[in-house]
Amino acid sequence: MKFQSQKVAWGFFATCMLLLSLQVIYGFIMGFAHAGYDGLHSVIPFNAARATHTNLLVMWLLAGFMGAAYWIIPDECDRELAWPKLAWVQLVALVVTGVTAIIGFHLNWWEGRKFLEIPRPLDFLVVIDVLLFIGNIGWTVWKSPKKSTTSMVLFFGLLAAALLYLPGMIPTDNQTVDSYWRWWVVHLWVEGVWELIMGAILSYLLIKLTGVDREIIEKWLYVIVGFTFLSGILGTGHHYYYIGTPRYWLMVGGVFSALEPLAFLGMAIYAFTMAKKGGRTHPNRVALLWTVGCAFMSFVGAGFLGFAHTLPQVNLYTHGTLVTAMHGHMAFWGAYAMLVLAIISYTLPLMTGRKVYEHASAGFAFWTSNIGMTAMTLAFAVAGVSQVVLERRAGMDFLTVQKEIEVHFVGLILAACLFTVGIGTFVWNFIRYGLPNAPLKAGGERVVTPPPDVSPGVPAVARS
Amino acid sequence: MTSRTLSNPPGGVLPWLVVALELLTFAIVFVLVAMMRHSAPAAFALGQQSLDARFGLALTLTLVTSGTFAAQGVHSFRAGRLAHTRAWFFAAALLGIGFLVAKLMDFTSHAAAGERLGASDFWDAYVLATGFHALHVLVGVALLLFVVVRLGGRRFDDEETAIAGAALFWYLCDAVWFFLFPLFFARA
Repeated sequence: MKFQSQKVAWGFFATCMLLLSLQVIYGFIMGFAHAGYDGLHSVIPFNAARATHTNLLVMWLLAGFMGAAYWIIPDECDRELAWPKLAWVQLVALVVTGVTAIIGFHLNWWEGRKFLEIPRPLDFLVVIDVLLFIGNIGWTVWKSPKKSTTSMVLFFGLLAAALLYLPGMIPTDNQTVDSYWRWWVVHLWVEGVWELIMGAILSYLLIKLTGVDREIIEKWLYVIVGFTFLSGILGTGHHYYYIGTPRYWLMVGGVFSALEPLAFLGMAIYAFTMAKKGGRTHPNRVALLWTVGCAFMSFVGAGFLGFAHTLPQVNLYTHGTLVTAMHGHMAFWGAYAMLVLAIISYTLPLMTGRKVYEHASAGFAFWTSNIGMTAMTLAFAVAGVSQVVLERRAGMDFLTVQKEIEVHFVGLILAACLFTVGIGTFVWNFIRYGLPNAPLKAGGERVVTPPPDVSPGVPAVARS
Repeated sequence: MTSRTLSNPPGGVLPWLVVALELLTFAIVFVLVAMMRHSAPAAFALGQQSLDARFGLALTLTLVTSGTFAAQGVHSFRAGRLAHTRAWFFAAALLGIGFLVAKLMDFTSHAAAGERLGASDFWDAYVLATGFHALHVLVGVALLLFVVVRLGGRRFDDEETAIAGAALFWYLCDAVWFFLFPLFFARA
């Protein structure tokens, strides 16, 4: 840790751990409800659980991005954060807004718009909170003489994400028009500007962890991220199939959705190549595992499984089924959850001085959660395909089909248990090794100086 | 003439990577247009009657001439005459702007006759495919003009990528149009 103010990232990461744990609990509530055991229905109806599950995800990922920015920006800009105290205020405001929204969902205070359920008054609070955040890192970048590509991409990615929150607030009485704008937020976040943020964080991690020249990583990674981003913009079309928007969106969505997996494949291959090129000198192997794993799983989840139902001819049958849940789970896990867990794995030992990565449990958390998520995705796939065949091909009634596929959710719950063991281990490690001022336990020794980011003796990679 | 390897193409690897991805994208577009034509032959036959083959030919000649100018600009650069490169590129960009203006007038006049996005499968295909191409022409013009302006002041760190790369992107716009032209105007 180069600067004292970077420590604010810890607060955001701790928030991530808390919200992620809650998200998993709500996932279980829904899993059991799908399997036929909806005992909590009177307290937490499915719609509330669903809204809570997805909004917690968005909330903790945003908290993770903010934490990552508060860590990376001072490091890249070579100066303290402009207003460290404001960052803490902003964190508290974010948590208060989020908690209010989630309690609201349980009291039926919500907008009923998928993924953007937060009620309108809270939207304004979110906007103010994000403005504080953007102002803080923006001023830090502005005052710094050093403007690296990574810090600029990260800043503009976050700024664009903040601006793209606004289309979701355009008032309309029309369901289709509302959906039209809603996807500007949801899609242009996750398949647009969030990819810029992802690119910046991945690039930062690869530079630090592999020791390959910054110039090489920045140039090519941003080329790839640029392709992902550009194909993603018009890829918005694949959300406009069969919802009342003009027919030409089938054409636009189809063409650009076909390109998206290619860009993700490029990113995965690139991360693997860099990790191999860089040698195995950095002690924090687990952070590199999460980083490369993120690039790989985002290809499988976002690129490959996304393409499984973004062609109009396929989507005609799969639209709004559990096939979406199959893609959604692994895509968010691979692209963004693993990204945040990667930056946490990298920064935590630098903040606390305790080498959590030397413990087998760190690797165990990675493998168990990934195997668990893969199994969950398979369970969703089987349930989704069954649903498509029974409901859309055989023409059975929606609820009859839901009854038929209950059994697949038993499989899902078993897989989710495995996933939870992995996540639980990660969170437990965060608590055990992450509390900055807690007394040291056996096995956790304090490091006098943080491990060097780039170890000497790494062969300089030939410039292409 | 210097010999080149695959890892050292004229313009560098990056512009060729862009070209490869663009060609792939447009290949998907061509296949899609073919599929749409196959599924709605009547709409395509009707739509093509509203197109003027002479107009299409004029657009084609504008782009080809412009591409030749850009090529001359690269030759001048290789011969070390950067002032000539600027002039050639500027001429190429002017023709590119002419293409864009003509295309814009084409879209507005058709739209006035009700032949716009959403009118039929043919007009969806025509407006989206040639519109997407026009977007590339716009980027190409911007790249050429950027090189023209920049060469007036400082030199580029990597002149090969900047000059030969911009020209390469410009040829890409030509190459794509060579397919779009017959696809829409052949039976007009």
